[in-house]
Amino acid sequence: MLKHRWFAFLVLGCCLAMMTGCWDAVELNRRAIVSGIGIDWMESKSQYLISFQTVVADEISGKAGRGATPTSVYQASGKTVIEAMRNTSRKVPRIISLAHTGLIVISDDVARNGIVDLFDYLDRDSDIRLTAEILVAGKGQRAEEVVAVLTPIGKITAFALAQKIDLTSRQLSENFRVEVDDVIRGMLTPGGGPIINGVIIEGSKEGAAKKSNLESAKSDGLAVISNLAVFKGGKLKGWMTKEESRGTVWIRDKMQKTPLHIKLENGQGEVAFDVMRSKTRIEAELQDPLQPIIRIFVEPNLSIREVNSSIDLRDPHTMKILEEAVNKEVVRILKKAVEKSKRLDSDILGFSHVIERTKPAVWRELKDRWDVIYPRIQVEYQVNSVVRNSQMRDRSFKHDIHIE
Amino acid sequence: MIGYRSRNRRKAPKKDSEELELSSKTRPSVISGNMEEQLARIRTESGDSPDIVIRRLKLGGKDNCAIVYLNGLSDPQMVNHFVMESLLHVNPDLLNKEDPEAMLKRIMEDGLAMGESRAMTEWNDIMLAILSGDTAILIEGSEKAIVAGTQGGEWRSVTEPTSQLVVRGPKDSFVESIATNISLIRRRMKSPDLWLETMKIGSVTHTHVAIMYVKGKADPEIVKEIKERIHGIKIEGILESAYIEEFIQDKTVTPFPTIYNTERPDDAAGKLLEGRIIVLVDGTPFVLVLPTVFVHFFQSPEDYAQRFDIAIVMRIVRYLCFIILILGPSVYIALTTFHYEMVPTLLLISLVAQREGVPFPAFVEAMLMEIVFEILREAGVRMPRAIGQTVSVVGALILGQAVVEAGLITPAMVIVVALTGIASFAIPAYNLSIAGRLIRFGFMVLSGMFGFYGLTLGLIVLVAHMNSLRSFGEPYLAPISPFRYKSQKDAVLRMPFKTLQSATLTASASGSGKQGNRSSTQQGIGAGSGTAEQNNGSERGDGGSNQHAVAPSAEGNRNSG
Repeated sequence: MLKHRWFAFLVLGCCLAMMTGCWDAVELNRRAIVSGIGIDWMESKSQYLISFQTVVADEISGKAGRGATPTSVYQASGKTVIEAMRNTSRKVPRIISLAHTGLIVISDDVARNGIVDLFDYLDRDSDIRLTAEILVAGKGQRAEEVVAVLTPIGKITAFALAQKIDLTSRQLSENFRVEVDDVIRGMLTPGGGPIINGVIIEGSKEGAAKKSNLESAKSDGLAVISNLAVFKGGKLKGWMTKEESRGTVWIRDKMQKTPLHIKLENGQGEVAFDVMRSKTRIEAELQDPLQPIIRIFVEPNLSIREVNSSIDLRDPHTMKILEEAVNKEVVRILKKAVEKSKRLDSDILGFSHVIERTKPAVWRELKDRWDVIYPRIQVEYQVNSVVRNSQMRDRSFKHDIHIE
Repeated sequence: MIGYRSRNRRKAPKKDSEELELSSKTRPSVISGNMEEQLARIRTESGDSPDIVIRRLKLGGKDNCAIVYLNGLSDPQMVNHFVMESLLHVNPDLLNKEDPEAMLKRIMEDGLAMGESRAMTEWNDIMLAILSGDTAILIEGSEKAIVAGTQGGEWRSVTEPTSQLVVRGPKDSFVESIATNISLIRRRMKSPDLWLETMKIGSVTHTHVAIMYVKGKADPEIVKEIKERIHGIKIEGILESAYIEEFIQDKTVTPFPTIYNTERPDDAAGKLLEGRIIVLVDGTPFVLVLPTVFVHFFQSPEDYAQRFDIAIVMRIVRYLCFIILILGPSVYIALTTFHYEMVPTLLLISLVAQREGVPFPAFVEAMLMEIVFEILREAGVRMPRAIGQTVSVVGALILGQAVVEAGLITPAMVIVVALTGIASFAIPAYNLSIAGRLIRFGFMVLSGMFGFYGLTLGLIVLVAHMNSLRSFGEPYLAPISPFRYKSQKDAVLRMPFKTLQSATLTASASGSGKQGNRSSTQQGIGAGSGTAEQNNGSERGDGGSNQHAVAPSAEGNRNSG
């Protein structure tokens, strides 16, 4: 009896293997790994043009390289993203696999038309990760061109661009990482919208896509992270300048390191600071429900990096003067960002969240009129900077030169 | 009958027993006073084997005495010096006057300078004693024979263990002689509480089987159960402790060993101290330890010779190796064919590049390589030592490299297979590593068909199966499942000896608390599957005491002659 049961199990097990097959098994050499996606709008067909930057694996690692480009771009158009993706199957011999997509570039005109529908796909798809980086191609530039760029350092451009965002947000702090879920969260902000990093191609767009781009010491074209794009809801409203970007990053409390350049009064010269770390806090005062006051508190810690002046850094009084000068400069930068967001009437800085958190009842009243209130909202700044160090020297040797 | 290995062998003993019955009718079971007749019978029953030495002696001038011993199994020194010399020095005048029975008594009392000598009447016992290396002294006219303990002969001397090596720790190992093995343990534990019981199993081989345990620590229920099961064994010969293991284990349908074996006396002594019972079998250096739990197979005597923190790390490494062994190739298959999104991007690109132009799917690739690895290992194990080197060089270097260069197998797969191979050697117990190798193939099929989904289901089944295993009532996964906090100190971890003293991983810790439960679990297992036959066997043994069990086998011996 026991033997028969085992035999039956064996037969059933074999049937299982035969009848179901190997589920959704796909060998690795039947996959085309996509590293970046570019999304453009084709005015003529009024369809999306999707460009997939696929990795040519044996060019990147392995012995069988033929000296071809490390990535190759496949394009197809379609009314929806999925349609475009399926259309690529006529061009690509392998399954387009999106799970390792590190970067999604949206062209300026797609962004202006609205990205809400696009992000439903990105949010819904089981392959694409929510941690994929989002970029908006600068005005007059196309996403397909960005995706086609070849970079000498970092063979796969999409990953290299993602790394550039990561690096610049740590070193310069005029950008910060914006992923799929950040964008969706931004679109859900009432009266606001996401801010997304921009990307432009510096130099020749045609040259950047050629293999010769890798062969010259000065690249013909280079994909460069640019300033922030401001959205309202799902639509692109406008682009920020460098300083506005920095102010936005600062108010959003993503500030890590940034250089500050202070011109001292009375022609005493100039001092360059580096913000080492900074803390931002936003509070809302709701005495008058129709006139909320937003207070932004910023506490940057600074380090003196360059002194083109004869001031005496050993004097504590000098520090006071320097800190006050920094405070003014920071307020100026913050103001620019706030003014820009007011002008575009998009609450990208998250003031609505602050009000809602402070007094939910008041927010419920304000909510419907927020679009009207926001451009006229009163914002107060309080910057309290602290100079923490002056690197390896206190006062410059130039100080001694002047004494003599 | 528990069942023999093949049908052919099953018929043979039946024939024998028929013959045996016939011969037992014609021949008396006790010896007679006629010495010549007895000597002739010894010759005929042994087929006139030349190694049975019969030496006639004249005590008191008459041709009235003979000694019989087996050349090679008896110690010639003892036979010459203590038996023959003593006999020849007995005062012949005294002997002359006496009748044979008194003479025999006198020889026993005055003549033999032997520690071990007894008078015997049963033909079978005498024959068995001779075959074990003792010397029988027959005297004309006496219906008794003296059996002098002269067992000796050549054994392999105590050497370093070959299968359980340690860097630091005792360097001796068990040998094939059960007496030596017992002495090795006795020497480590000078306690009267260390109890020993012996029995003879095997209708032809009459192999000595001994069980040892520490009275007061070992659960008496388990001791009783073990004895019953051993007595229930019906087989012609026991040539290795594995025979016993197979007969007495709880469940047979499992790849996992449920009885631990060791060739290290220090290991065995350590297990005795935990309250476990060891079974020694004559003729093999491998000693069984019962009841066994899964964690035993990951403990090395080395653990107790090193600092505890280092020992903990070493043990964790072994568990890690077991996981790599059973899951290594299957996880690789699942990752590359089903879940490419889980592989780090740059690694994935490297894997994709390797897969370019490789003809087989990952599953076939893994199967091929694992089978090749098994072939290499099997070849290496059976090879004469001089050629063994060649196998490893040809196998590991040439084959591995050529297969990659020819583009048949991806280098990553070679790495995975090599890793699992090495991991299998890191497990201290060889029998568990074989079990792991077997299970690995099952997981490879599962992951080749269903990816991590199948792998997870397989793991659930595996853990459930391991939970269902019992070793003499002890849950196989104890003390992890069921979780016993106090026993954790020397299970997966090895805490310092100070804390170990209060609570070791004792076998009786589980038993003493719930002895009532034990018998019920036993029944539960019996009713389950597989062990039903065994339970029958032990029930049969139940009725008979120690002597009863030996008696039938002794009959068998007589008749077979």
